[in-house]
Amino acid sequence: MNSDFHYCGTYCAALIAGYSHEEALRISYADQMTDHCTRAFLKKVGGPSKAATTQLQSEMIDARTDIVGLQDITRIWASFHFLPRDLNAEVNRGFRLYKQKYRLICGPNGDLVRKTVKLAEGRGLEAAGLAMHVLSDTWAHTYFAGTPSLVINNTDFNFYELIREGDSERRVPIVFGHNPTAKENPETGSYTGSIYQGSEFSIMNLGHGRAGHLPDYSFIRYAYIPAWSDYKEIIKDNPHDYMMAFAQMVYALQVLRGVKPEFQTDTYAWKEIAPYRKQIENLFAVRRTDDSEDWIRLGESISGQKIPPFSLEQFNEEYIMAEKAEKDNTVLGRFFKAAINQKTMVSSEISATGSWLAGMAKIIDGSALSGGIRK
Amino acid sequence: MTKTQKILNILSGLFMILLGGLIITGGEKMYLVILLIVLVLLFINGVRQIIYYFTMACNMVGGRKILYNGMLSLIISLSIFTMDEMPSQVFMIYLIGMLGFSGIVDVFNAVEARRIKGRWKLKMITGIVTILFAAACFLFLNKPSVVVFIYGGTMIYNGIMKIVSAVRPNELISIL
Repeated sequence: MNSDFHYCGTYCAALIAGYSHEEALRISYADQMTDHCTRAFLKKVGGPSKAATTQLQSEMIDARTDIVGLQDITRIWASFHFLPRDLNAEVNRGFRLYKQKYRLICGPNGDLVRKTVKLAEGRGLEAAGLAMHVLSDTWAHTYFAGTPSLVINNTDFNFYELIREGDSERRVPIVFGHNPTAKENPETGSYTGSIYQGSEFSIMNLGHGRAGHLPDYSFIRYAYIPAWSDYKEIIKDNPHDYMMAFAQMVYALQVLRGVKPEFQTDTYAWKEIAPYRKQIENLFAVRRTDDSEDWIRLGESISGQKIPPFSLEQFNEEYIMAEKAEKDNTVLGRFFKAAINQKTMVSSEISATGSWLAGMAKIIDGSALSGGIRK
Repeated sequence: MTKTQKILNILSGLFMILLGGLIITGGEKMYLVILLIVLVLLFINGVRQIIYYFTMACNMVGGRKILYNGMLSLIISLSIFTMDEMPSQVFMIYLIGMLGFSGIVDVFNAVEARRIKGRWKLKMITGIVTILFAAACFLFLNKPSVVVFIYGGTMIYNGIMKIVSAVRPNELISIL
């Protein structure tokens, strides 16, 4: 998902869930921040490097491909962008490492989503925003794993965009280019994906790199054969999945606001979003790479307030100027704490299954585990 | 390219320059050393790919390609290892063939990179120069001392190019 959904979409979801304009902005800031909180950013503001929620391209290029480097990559990407659906999934083939990687495949409504929302309870708007990022990405990034793996994340030439024409459906083959600076154009079918690398641990085989940015576009429906699927074709329907993500996000935010009881998976706020559903469906249906304008229009019509553009610098000064003891009470301080808690929880859950892929979690904030996360 | 891959590429570039120098100074018998190194590397690569296939890639769509690559590497390396006697010219043809092939692959990669507006010039130059070196080797096939000299020069050139491409900034697709 891109900033259109993570920032503007989350703002709308928070408003529908009952948050005020200011609160919704804070939640959407934290959601979008999850795509910007790199080690370079943390160094700039003097934040803890273990709070990194993403990696710059330059950081990934320089990332070590030894065990420690791979564990660092997996901790970040599996915790915040590719939350595993089922860490105990039954896998009847392959050796131990294959099974461990297979179990990291991302998907919605897993137990870790429940734990993610639970972890954000009572920990402020920043933790709520971060949890919404993780939750919504489980829908967009379904079928890919947040660890470099050829045998899981590879795709081949069987890749088609499904275009509806009245009652029928047309299959248009997608051939990915490999130039990262090339502009993508849905009208001409120009999409960019990472180049094939035969090495299992190549950074090119991380997440949905081989499928390019397709999982991040709300309009697209596509069919392909994932490397792990035993030659079965998968159809990914982003407009449907994005709507599910939005409905689940509104429900999760209601839980975090305290107006709904404990978060349950597979539960959605369909009733609450009903007045806006048609408008959102139309927004998803347009073939474009950025829905921000329509989301902003919807958000401003609900709140009657102006939505400022996302700014990475917005809360930097507050954090930098705060006394050491007060840093945790700033917006960025709370975001960093939420990020560390989330990373600790997911890493320890992965490690508890006997997998070394995310390393051993270091418990920094005891509250991450005392809140009923590991029982 | 990761930091580790860059270091490995720089090291292998330096090794190629060193080997090229040894070939030029060591004379025509040095080709046997090159051949041995090439065969050992081919053998290790074949074993590595076959192990990867049976432990991981056999469960992957299209994973058999990895098995076939591994088997091919093993068969070629073992069949040449087990030959009792072979005229030096045949060894040279094999080495020159490999050299020419790597040049063709570079040219194809450059054409592909150009098509998608990526970086292509350095790869294209490397490919063309390598093909020209291979062609020159074939022309002087009856003069082993000249062939060994050209081959050594090619190795030094490719070593330098490997280091240059390792120290250049790289590009990656972002995944957010």
